[in-house]
Amino acid sequence: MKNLNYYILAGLLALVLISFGVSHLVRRQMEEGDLRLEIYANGQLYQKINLSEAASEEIKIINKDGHYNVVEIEKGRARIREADCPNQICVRTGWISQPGQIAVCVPNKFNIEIKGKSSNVDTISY
Amino acid sequence: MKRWSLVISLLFVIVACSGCRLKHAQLKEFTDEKFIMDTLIRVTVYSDDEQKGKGALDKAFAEFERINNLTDRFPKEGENTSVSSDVIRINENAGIQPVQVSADTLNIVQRSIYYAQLSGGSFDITIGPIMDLWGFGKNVQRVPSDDQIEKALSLVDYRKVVVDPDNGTVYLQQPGMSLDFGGVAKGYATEEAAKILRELGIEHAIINAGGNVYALGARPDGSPWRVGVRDPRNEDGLLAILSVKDISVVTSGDYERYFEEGGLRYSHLIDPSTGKQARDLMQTTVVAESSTDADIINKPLFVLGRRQGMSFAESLQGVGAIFVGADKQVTFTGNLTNQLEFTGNGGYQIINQQ
Repeated sequence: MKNLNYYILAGLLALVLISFGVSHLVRRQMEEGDLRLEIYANGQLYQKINLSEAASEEIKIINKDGHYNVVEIEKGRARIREADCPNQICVRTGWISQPGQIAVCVPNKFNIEIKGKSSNVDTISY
Repeated sequence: MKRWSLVISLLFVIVACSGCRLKHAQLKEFTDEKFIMDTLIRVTVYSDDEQKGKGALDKAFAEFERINNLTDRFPKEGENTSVSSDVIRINENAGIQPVQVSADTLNIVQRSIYYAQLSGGSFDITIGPIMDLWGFGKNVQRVPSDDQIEKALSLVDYRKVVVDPDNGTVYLQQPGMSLDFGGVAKGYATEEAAKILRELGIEHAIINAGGNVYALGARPDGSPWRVGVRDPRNEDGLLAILSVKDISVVTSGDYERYFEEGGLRYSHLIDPSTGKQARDLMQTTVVAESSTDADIINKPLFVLGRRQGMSFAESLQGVGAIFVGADKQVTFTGNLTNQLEFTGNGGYQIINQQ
């Protein structure tokens, strides 16, 4: 009887330790490998792409008025490469790669943003 | 018995531990973004209740819409702004008659005139004719002739704005004059949206209206918010990071709205006394309790330039400022020292005057 209780105790302790360990590992991994690109059309999330493992690609997004933006993606960074908007501010923004950075196309109501837990700022004043 | 009590106490500890974690996770993040006021507005709030969090977001955005409808300068296709916008009605009645306006518009005009007087006219909300001439706010920009600028400048004078607070009216004395709230409306809307979040019991939130930031409270863990300041010549970099609580951080730069002609950059930051671009600085950042003030104050600082701008900033109580010169020299007011860290990127020369 006595031994059995010790086993139960030891088992419970091990369980607690393991669960703490696992949650810690999971959290750390999320913080490190969690660099992603979010594409928004008209303020709505259109697509999420993991930038840490992204292959080079181009995505053309056409909005409901027929206007378009072309997003170019490489490993770890992205940009709006082309747009049919009049001011081209989004294209001139160039590559973005740090969490919190955005490229915005106001005329086409379109924007992309880098997200990631490793960001050392909460927001950016620009 | 003793053994069982051991097991039970251990179980108790486990339950208690998971309890603390649950409590910590109760404060959830709610975030949304919308295109209003010709810019991207993002609001993030923290709340333990989903309905409360999402409701707060909706009310904050509704406030931006409301202020936008009051202050929009150009009627939009399919939208009835020409009826709702105080600014359009004031401008249409320039030289004709005073116009009854909302308390918000009255407030914005009064605050703007206050700073116009304080800065000797280096900020002026009657800059409308000059902005139109350069094409800012429209799609086609161009460099106007000196004659054109001179003509438009004769219509720019904040002293010809007559405010009657008792009757709630605003009047532009000269025909052709026009108000432009481009340098204040976003800040005012940010401040009003923050007020609403507070009234709804939100204690942690970030509002970012096209780079105009209001940091409400502190981070959910109690530490200060960290607000990055963009590197003015590298979209991908940060110049500095400010640690702040309950404060607004607003940045103006020659990279926001500009065009190039003949190898020269023409930004939307125009000196109301010359009608041309101010070129001493490429970026200013203002830290102030009021987002309206922070938004406005950037403009005279940018126009006045590093030296005069610094003395103007230092004359204002509770206001901090960072100046980035066209020569990449960076100066800042002494009151920011403890909350400001520079990233060291971008090859800027930081001059600490203390």
